[in-house]
Amino acid sequence: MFKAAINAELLRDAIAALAVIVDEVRFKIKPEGISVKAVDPANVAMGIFELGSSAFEEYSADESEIGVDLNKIMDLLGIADKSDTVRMELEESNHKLLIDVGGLSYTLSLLDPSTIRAEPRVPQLELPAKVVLNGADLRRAVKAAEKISDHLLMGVSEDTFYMEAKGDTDQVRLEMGRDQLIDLKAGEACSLFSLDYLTDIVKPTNKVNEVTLSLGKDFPIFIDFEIANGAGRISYLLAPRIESD
Amino acid sequence: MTSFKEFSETCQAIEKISSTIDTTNRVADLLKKVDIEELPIATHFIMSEIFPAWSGKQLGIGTSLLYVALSRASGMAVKSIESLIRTTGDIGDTALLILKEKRKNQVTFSSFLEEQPELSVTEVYKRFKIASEASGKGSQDIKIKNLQFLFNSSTPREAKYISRLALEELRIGVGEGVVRDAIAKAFSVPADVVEHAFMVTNDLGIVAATAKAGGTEALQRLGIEINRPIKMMLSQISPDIDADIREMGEAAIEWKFDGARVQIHKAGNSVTLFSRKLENVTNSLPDLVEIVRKHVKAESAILDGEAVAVDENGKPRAFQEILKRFRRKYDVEEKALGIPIQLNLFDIMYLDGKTLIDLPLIERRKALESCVERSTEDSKSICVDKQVITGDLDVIKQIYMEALEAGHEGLMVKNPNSFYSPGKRGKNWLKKKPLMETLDLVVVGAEWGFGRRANLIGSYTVACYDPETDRFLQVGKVGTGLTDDQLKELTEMLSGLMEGGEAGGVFAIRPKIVLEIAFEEIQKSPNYNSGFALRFPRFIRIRDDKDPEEADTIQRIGKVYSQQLKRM
Repeated sequence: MFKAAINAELLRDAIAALAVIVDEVRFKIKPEGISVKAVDPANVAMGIFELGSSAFEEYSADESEIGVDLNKIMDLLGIADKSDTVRMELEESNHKLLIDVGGLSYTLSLLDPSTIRAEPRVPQLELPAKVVLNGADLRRAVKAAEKISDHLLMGVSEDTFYMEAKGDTDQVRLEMGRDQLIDLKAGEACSLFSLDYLTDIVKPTNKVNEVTLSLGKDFPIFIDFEIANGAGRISYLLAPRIESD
Repeated sequence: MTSFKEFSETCQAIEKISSTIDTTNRVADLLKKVDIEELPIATHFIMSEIFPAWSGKQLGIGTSLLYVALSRASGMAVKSIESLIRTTGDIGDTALLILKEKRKNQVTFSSFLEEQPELSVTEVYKRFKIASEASGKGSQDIKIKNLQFLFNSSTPREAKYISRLALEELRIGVGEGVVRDAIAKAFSVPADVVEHAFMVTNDLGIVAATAKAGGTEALQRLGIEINRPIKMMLSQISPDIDADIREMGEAAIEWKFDGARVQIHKAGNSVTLFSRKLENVTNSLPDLVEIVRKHVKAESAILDGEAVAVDENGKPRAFQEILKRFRRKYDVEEKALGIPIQLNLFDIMYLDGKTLIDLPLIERRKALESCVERSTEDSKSICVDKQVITGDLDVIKQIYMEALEAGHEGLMVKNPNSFYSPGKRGKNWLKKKPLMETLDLVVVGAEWGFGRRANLIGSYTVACYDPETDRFLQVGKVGTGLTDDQLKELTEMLSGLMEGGEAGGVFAIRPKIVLEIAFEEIQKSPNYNSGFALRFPRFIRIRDDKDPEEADTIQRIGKVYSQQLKRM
């Protein structure tokens, strides 16, 4: 059993944040909320998504798992008004999700969860440095880097967080000291990331006030932020580019 | 689980071997080690196939997509990869080089797990399958990311073979013949039983798994199945057809139609049509489907025939006209009215649950006649090809003249007691055509034109096929006989197939396109790696109904050469 109602904009932002990683996901539905763990086809970017029941206007659910094509949901939420309420109800017997929004009733065919890539194992990492900054600042740095290169170096040096992109001829560097950051935990950190991925991942952070980055040396980066006024959370994990032996 | 490492080690070993026997042994060793569930995959992979040829499934990974995936995996710019390919001339060697180099390669999360999973052949297959099935919005990205996964989850040496597999060219010279013998050796079953099982299933993956599971007995139980097309039996040109007829005593004589071969699978009301290359062409030919539904009175059957495009007077139209219809995907109905088709049936391989290929031709003929309805209002649209059994050379000559007069190619001379041998070209089916030698050859190289043709590919290096080594051997260059439109068409077809270095406007082409080439004579020549050269080669037409492996072979070139010597 799954029956819920939620604000359309909130749901759209949450789904959009997941859709940058994968097209098809397994939603885990539990009495306390919904969660997803998904990895992109290249095994380079991961998305961990949690949306607690308090993010919903109404919520009641047993444990179940459903397979969803995110593009389809995005399409139908694209038509909805920001202030609309989305009502969802699972028809377990015939694998359909009934969605009512803005006076439209959709019957969405669900995917067989077993046909979707299984939940990834999340590597256990100890990342020494931590940076908390405004999402718009992060997005701006990535946008600047994109113009010059296809990769971005991110690191912490003493009390400074830096992002640096080098192209064939040009380079761009952004440094942020403690005073420009919301928080900083210094530690040895310097890793290179592909902008093909970063560009997509930082898109949803634009509206977010506090984004937490956890970094190491030649280690994946954790990009972590709250959604739905603290009732939900999205974490991205992105594997670095490393000089091979 | 078989690791892809095991597979790539086999490829690597084979690459260094020149003898067919050693190659066969090495393939047999691999097949023996592979689990039964993975055996179909490994069997197809070693032949540079992802999916069995009969399935009609295309991998659909082009070179440019592969370069992007390699670029993302390695961090090397696409432009640099392209220029590297120009020096190495091979995608596999290029992949090996750039992934081996010390550069900031993308890594996957597997690098940060305690135990790193080994890439299996099944995983490689799964990723290729996902890539091939991706369609619509975002499909390019899915293809690229799945390839990127493979490159980042493998060693550079494995990546070499993954990239070659992605283009379905391992370049290790392992073809059906080697795999057939390797299956026999690996599972201790007779080669002729393997061969027969291959003929009825058209899938060496199934054959290998069946041989492993149940040996000879299980192989013998394999039969033809509806909608799994079998290879077509082929005919050859006889140097002395009169002698062959005398040897047969009596021969079954049929017209050789100037049309396109079709294999028809009927199960109840469902009709599926396959082209000579075993592509599913059902949707292009709705009128043919209707005719078969109406006039073939069998619950299930597999039939062999020739579809001929006819004009208002029922005369055959040019061969190209029928091919146009085969390629047609849109406005099919309209086209059907424009170019009516006549179906001439001449063989049956399966009827109501029974495989018939091991019956003599005369028996099959009876079965065919029993299930095709004749003399109806649209009887012109379907018929069982007229067949005369005779040993009288004068009568045969008479029929030959009639066929030519009716606008067809010539005669088929068949041994009345012969079986249907899928994929075989032998003495049981001979063809007699007016003497104007042509060869079907594969384009392996090209050169930009000059002057007025500067933006077109103006000259083509053509090659014959060597089935023993699965290689293409050059026999000459063709630059005449082409209209501007044909040049344009060929330039378009070839531009996606260029590979390797362009030096002075000359570049290599992936062997995909077959041309029919006329010539005056064949000479011995040190200039081409076949050892032969065509004198005055002339373009006749594009044979897009033929696969490169169906091109004329080096053996046939040798035969034509020695016949020439006799004539002089």
